Amino acid sequence: MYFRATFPMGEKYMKESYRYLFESNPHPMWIYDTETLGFLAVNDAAVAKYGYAREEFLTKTIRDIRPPEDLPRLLRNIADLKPGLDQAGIWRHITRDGRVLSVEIISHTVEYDGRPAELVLARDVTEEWQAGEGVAQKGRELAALNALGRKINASLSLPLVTETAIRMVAELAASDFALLFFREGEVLVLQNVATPESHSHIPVHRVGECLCGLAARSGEALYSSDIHHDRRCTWEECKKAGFRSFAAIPLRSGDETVGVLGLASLTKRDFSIQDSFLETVADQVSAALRNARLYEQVRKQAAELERRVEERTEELAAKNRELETFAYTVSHDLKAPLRGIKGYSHLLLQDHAPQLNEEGRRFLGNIRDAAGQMNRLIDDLLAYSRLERRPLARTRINLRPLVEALVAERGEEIRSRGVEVVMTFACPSVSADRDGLAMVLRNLLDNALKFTRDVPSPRIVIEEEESPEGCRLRVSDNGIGFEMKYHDRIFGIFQRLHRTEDYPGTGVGLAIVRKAVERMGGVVRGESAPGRGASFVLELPTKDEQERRTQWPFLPPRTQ
Amino acid sequence: MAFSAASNAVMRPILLVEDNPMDLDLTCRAFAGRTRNPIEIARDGEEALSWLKRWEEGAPQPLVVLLDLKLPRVGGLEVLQQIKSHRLFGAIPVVVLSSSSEDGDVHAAYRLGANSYIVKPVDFEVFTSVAEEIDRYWCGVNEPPREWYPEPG
Repeated sequence: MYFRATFPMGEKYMKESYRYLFESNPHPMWIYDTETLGFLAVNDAAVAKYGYAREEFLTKTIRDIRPPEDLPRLLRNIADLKPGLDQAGIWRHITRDGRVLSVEIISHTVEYDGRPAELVLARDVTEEWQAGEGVAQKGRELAALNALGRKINASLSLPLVTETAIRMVAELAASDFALLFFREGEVLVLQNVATPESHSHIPVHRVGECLCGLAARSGEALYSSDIHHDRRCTWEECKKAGFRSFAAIPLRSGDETVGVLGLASLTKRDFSIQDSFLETVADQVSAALRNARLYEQVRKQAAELERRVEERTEELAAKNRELETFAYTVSHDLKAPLRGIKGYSHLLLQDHAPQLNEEGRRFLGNIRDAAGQMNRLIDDLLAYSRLERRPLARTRINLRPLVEALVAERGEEIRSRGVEVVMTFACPSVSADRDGLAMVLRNLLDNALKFTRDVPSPRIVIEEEESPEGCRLRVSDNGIGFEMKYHDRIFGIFQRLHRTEDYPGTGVGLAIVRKAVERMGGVVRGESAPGRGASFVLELPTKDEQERRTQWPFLPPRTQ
Repeated sequence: MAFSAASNAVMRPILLVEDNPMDLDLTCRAFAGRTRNPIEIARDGEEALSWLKRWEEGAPQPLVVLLDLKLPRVGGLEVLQQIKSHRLFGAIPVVVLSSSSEDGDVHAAYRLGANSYIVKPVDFEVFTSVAEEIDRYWCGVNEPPREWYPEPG
């Protein structure tokens, strides 16, 4: 509870003694009108401290001795003013020549010539305040730097880092404008302006021109507290924009100046007080920009690589399609002359055999055999190329009935040659294309039968076991086998290890096996030694594509 | 105009559309002695289509058209489509005789209304059996409808 009183202090009531106490008080004192905010009386100490002549002082309002940024707080404070004593705390005041004072304000409501007024005593605490404020300011700066570092390093997108940096720097330095220039050769290009409105008229700077250009050239931070009276500041646009004080801080990357951070204030202000802070801010910004630029470069290169890989892949796919179409067309076109050869040699043998001698008939027989062999080659080539073009219809397949049916198809040969066939099954099912899988197994069975032709007590073992990849099927025989150095060759198209008259065939069978197995997402390999039999191992997936993809998301999509 | 019931008055032919001279000769030889019907020949797609006009003018319609797919100028599938969508002659049986065993060709032919698709056998003995079977079914067993209402459009 305060005792509030209003002292009648008008000119005519003011006693000489009171006037003396007011006028000669060692602290600046004044009375201002709480409605117009105009000064009504000022004392000698105020005149001395603030630098205005008494007459000039009395034409001013208390707004004129405040930094513009403090005005909102001041007006709020006056609006909330209660009658009686007010300890308003520490405020910043500005002297006529632009110096900033820290003053402790104590005031009391009075009536002056019948007008509501406030009697104010301002005690200059600039020095003691600055000592304490210095510590507090350093703390704030450190916190601000920390926040800046965190924010601008949170993103690697160049535009985002640029924007965040400009916004935060303007805020941290309490400047009205922050400008960011990137250096491109001898030109500074404005990136973005953090301003209340857009100031698009700010032109591109040349290195060496105006404060920013000079900072870019020298690599040193430059400060101007009044650009209107600074010969280094040559750009009229900055002045037209209303800038008063300016800081141009180079952004350095190694020995290079990569840009300039510009800070502008609409009032007279000495940015150099904060030089180490501002230069640290600039270092933070340039580090973040360097990171973002490097990242941008890496990203661009990665995208370029990706694009090239895609292009090449598409080219390859197109070439492959072309080749397949070619193989298919050629194969069909080869059939027509072949029909001629086979047809006419048949007619020749049928209608004109008596006119030929023994040798002629043998030649004719050879022609027909050759044509037959060619026909098989073309058919196999067609089957091989069809394998590539045909879409896969993947289903779950139980291997037992399929293998048993294929063995049964060859029942007559197996019985007549006395081949022992042993089968064991273990997997519930595999995920495969039925026709493709049947083609694979048929070829492996036929191979096993073919290469056990001349061995005593021929034996074929078909075993199935579960494996990490899914299902492992092994087709082994005790036939003539092959040398492992030929392992890769036997899976190539038209590759043969034996003479046709010894073991007939076109050399396509195992190529078909490998192509079909690989298209189904499986693997095939052979194990053998000459005279020790051969064993072909199929690794087949048991899960379908969808399931496998969920399991291994990095699995590339398969072309169907 | 339309269809006259199969009769012995006019011996209705087999129309063979084939451009390859050897295939043409072999096909004729395969049929020789296995059919009583005459074989008319068109050497390309355009010539095959000219038969539509002749049939309109009263030439005897074939019991079956044997059509190769790979033909110069107008292709076999185009000929097939024109016959099968014809308001009068859509019911004439067309058997495709092609070198191709590709699923794509087979599907395309059946989609356009082919009555059968036979892959030309390389073995002449097989070819003669095919000829015999074509004659037995299409020139003997099969009886085309007396009236033909082509599908609209």
